[in-house]
Amino acid sequence: MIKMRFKHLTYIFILFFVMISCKSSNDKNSDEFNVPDSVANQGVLEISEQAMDNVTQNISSNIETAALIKNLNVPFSKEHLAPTEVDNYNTQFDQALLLGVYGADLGYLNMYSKTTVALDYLSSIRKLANSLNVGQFFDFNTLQRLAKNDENLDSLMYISQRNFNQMDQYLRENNRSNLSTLMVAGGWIEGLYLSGKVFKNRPDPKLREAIGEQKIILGDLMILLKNFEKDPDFAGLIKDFERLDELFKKVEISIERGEPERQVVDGRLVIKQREKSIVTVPDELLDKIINESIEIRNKLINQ
Amino acid sequence: MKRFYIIILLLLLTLGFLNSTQAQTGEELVNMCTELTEDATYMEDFTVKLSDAAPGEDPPSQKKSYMLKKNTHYRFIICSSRDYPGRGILKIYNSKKLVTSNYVESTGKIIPTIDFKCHKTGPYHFWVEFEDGKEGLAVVVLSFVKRL
Repeated sequence: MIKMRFKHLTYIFILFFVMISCKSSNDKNSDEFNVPDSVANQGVLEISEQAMDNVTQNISSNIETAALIKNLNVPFSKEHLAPTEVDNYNTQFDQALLLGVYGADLGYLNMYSKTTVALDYLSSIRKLANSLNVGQFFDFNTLQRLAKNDENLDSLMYISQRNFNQMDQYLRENNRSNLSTLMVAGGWIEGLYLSGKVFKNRPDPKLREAIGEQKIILGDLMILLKNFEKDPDFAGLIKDFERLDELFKKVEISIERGEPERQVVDGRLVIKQREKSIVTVPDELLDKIINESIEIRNKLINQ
Repeated sequence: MKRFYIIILLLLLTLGFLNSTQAQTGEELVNMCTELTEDATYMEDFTVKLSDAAPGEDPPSQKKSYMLKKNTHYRFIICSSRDYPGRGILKIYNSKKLVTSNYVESTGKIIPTIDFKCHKTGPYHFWVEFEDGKEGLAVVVLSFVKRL
């Protein structure tokens, strides 16, 4: 009798532990997917962790630039955006670059609430993400539903940005930093291209400064790219970006020192930075930077 | 006897269910924290989970870096998980210099939201630690408010 009861209790506990382990295994697996051997371990960073500590990898946000362009009351122009045809991009190198380009374009579209056009870009982004085995992070169905309803713009911006961040983080954590770096590079050059195109029609001082300060960002981006310079595709991209880097070296950035002002307003800590960066870019140099960025960007998207 | 086993099974199922509903995950914290950004646009989030400090040692901390741009109003919100004793403290550095922290030393108060009006483009380093070196789980959400 005791033996029987013990046996039954054992079954119950086994059932319980199976249930618990199923649950925790589901949680854990949300970020783990099978990646073919041909893809994994190709993008391990060669630079030491200590050196990387001082390099900012999160440099791809174009929200600020898109907002600046919109604040200038510049009308939306679809002509500034990259075409959504992706079938000719067969290598992971090209696909990752283009994914970054589309990320910047999506930010621009979202800022102007162009959700219908955004659907085309979301569709192309899905194709590229699937090709790179990161499609699982891209919740296309939800994004499509949100894009069809203008009232959900905030959610659309949140989910699309978050999906990009998750893809980027996953690539970096799974020895595919080469692809993550390409996404960053694609997003960065597209942002610079958009700013340059708009500046040509609306030469605003804030936009001039925003272009000039890309010198700081390009500095970190070059370090990231040079990690993979042994790869012939990367070597070509680095060569192109070096031309831009040479031009940006002539941009002058000075710092005006000051202590931050702190106050609590409505339960929030409000910090006004008193230290300022001042960017000086002469007309001729700015013109060269814009033209070079247009040339590189068009080359990358085969235009 | 049968009834006894059914009761045990139901009890275990209930315990398992409670366990799964009460634990606050990093993902839930991100969603909760993002809702608090109000009129700002989400840009980035990062989750920090740290164990408690060994006696006599500095509290463990974790760093994340981000490029912030001039003439931009950003909002940082830090949300700490209720499942851990530690309350998250965020410190923002630029060029090795502390710009601000959400911990007010004089009062011991932690302010969860920082509105940062940035006037200098460059890399900023965000350090997160937990009050008194306790074990904790926190999420920091960075969002864009407006161009200045």
